[in-house]
Amino acid sequence: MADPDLRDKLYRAIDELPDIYRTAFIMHDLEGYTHEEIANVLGVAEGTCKSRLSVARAQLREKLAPYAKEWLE
Amino acid sequence: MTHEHDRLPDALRDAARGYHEPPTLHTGELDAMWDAIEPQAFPRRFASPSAERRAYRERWLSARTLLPLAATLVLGVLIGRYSRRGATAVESPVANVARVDSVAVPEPYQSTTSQYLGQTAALLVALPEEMRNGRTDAQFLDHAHDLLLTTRLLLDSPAASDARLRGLLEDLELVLAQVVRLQSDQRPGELELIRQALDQRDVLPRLRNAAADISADD
Repeated sequence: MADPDLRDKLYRAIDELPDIYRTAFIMHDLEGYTHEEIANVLGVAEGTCKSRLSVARAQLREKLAPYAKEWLE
Repeated sequence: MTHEHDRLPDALRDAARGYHEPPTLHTGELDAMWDAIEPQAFPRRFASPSAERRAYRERWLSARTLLPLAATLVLGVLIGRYSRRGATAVESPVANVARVDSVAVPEPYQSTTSQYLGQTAALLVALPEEMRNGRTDAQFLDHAHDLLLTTRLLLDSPAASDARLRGLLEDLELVLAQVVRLQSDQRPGELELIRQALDQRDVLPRLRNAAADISADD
């Protein structure tokens, strides 16, 4: 994704995620922590962590669909 | 729905890795950042000694602690004078007196005397630091003045019936009177005179011993 405009939209979409979903997304997909590690740090069940990550990804797909449909498919 | 099935495409994940990516900093910039953070994160380590001493002194010498002390003493002196005037020959000076090796203070005066000695020690210990910059603040002088009044009240009370405590109180009266006379812009030799008075009469060690003796009896 070389287009700076798309990159900005992606960052803005991440910014707009609710805290709990953004944290799960950043820790897992960007920082590379495992669900077990994230669950320990956040004090939640591992299943909760997976669920939050799933919601975060779904919201990102939804927000970015109008701009970068080809990358999301 | 499993979380692996909804994985984002790699291109998107790669792009997202630049999200709030920290800038590359040089060592000098990191040092400057740490210099700014450290005093806030570890305030005790970086607090100046004078600030700590000032906080300690203010805790000891606040009006909230001095006023009850003075009120208790005034009341004690009045009761002492009144009861002495009407007392008969049967009065026993040893009754209700806690006697220790060095200092014996009648029980009703122990707490007050102990507090007074502690506050006076705090003030005298803080004195050199207070005068280091060549000026003494008004609040400090006010505390010294209050303690001087308390000294005179104690000298006039049964607490001074102990010869050693009386001697100490008389020396403290002399020193505190010198401190009270300090002006905002003091002359350089004045601190030295006070220091000599403290040293020649061993005031601080005696003060600490007396405070320890009385505290042990509380």
